[in-house]
Amino acid sequence: MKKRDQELASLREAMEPLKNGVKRPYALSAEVLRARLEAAEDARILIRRMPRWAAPLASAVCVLAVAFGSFGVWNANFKGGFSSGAAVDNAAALATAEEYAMDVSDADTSPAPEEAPAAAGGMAGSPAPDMDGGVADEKGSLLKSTQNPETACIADDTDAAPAADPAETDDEDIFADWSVEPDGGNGPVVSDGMLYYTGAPDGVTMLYAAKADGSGEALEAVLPGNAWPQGLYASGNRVAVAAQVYGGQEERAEVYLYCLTEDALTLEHVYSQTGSLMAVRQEGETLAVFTASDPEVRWSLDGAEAAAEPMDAPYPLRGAVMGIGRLTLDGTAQAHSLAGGAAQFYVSENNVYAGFVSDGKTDIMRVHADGGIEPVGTVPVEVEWSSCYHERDGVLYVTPQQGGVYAFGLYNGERGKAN
Amino acid sequence: MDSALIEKAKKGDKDSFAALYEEIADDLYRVALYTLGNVHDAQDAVAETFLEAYRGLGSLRENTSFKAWMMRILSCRCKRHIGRYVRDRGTLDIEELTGLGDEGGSEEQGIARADLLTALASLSPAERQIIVLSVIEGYTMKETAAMLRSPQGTVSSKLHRALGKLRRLLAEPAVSGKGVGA
Repeated sequence: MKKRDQELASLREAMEPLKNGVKRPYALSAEVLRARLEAAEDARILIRRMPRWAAPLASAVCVLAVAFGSFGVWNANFKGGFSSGAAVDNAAALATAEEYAMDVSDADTSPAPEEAPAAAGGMAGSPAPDMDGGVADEKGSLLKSTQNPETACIADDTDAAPAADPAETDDEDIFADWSVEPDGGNGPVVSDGMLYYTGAPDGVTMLYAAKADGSGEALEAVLPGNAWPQGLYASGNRVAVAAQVYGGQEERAEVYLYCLTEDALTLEHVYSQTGSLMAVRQEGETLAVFTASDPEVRWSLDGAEAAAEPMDAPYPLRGAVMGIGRLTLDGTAQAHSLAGGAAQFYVSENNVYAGFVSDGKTDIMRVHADGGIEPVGTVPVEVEWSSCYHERDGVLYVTPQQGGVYAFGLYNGERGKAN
Repeated sequence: MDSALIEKAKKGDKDSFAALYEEIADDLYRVALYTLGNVHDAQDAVAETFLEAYRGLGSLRENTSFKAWMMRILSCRCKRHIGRYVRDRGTLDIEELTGLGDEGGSEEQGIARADLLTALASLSPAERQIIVLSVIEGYTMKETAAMLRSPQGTVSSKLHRALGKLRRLLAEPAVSGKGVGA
């Protein structure tokens, strides 16, 4: 037996206590998940049978129903103690709302132009009108960003049409014949007729550049070791690979900036920022790098290290601190840290949120790529986990441990004041 | 796995799919739990896997690969949750996970469990996922690589590093669990 096999066998024996005794919760029983599946399917069937003009109305009714349904569950939980059954109902209701919104989006129904600016935040689970995000009104304002791609863009503070959901694309890949999939990697992204992608043949992570028309041979470059590529971004003949780096003294995110010439991919700059990589947002030639870090955020470009410029935050330090670095693809950079910190961070496909917990409530802020923060709304209880947040179709759902589902529409007219 | 059940499930039979899920659900949950480090995220990841798998089952070509295919979907879900899971920087909630052990287990077993969890917590999420699949769940390197959609060489080198870390940690006096022979 090889040495490693012996070691594995020994470790397996040592780790036996971790294998035994973990009891799967009732919420993950086939019975419960099957019920969730059916709830989601029911909503899909309903919307598909409707004429297009009826979809917005149906959506409004659905969201209001979910809102009041959740309120009922929330009340039941509050009064009768939290039970698995109630939790399941709650989850099923939320799943139904999400599936419903997704299908509405697919239906390509557009609200009248004059209605769009009325879209505002809302809170399901409690109809109190004094929330920062507002309350979903009966005109269905909460739904505007789910129905109209243009409005959804406004909600996300971008001018371009909404990009395809990379996560969904990833899912499609899963459902292809998984056993013959190529090596895992990022991309491809296309720029100036070139395809860029990463892969790891033979255990070495590589960046490739190939002509989109399939002609010629692909150029390649070896990415720095111990990096775990998380994203690929390109503009013109420049391409950036964002990676999480483990090992060494501290965890950090790194971005490798390459320039494509006729016959080579050349590494021109290395940007580094302390912390766990949360997200990278590309705005033209600029990348915004979000990390969660220790109280001090440091960054460097080609080894020249600096402390991030601290920004004021409205709440006292609690939990991790967010670092927001901005660099251009041709190699200039600066970074901010959201000094003051937050209890939770949540990254959706289009937004980055910080939840500040204080005095029994949670104030939720949207963090912009330039380091500005914008209030989204307040949940009247302490939210404990970043996984309590979920954004879909321009609505941020917050599900605190205590129960209830709070939903905030993200389109509220002009973007709030940024620092 | 029962191929007839898989065929029925592919045609949309929810009962068959539920039965298939029930066979592997404990394994899915354990992998998610130790990869993500807390009950809440693990529940989300497994529930999402169930829903996604049902929708995509029709495209599964080799019925014998069902379990590995489900694990592959779970690994994608876990990766997404790891991205979100920044407040605790991807570490394990040791107190919560220790409490999930056998009820009525001895104090010694509890300590051993806590020590193992402490050692696991020192690994990166990627390393932890490989350890969970190859050590706790007992998958081969080839199977683990297929589930993670990574080259076998990459998984092998990551496993090597992770094993080295674990070996050191489990041998340290502060961690009182039983040592692991190298």
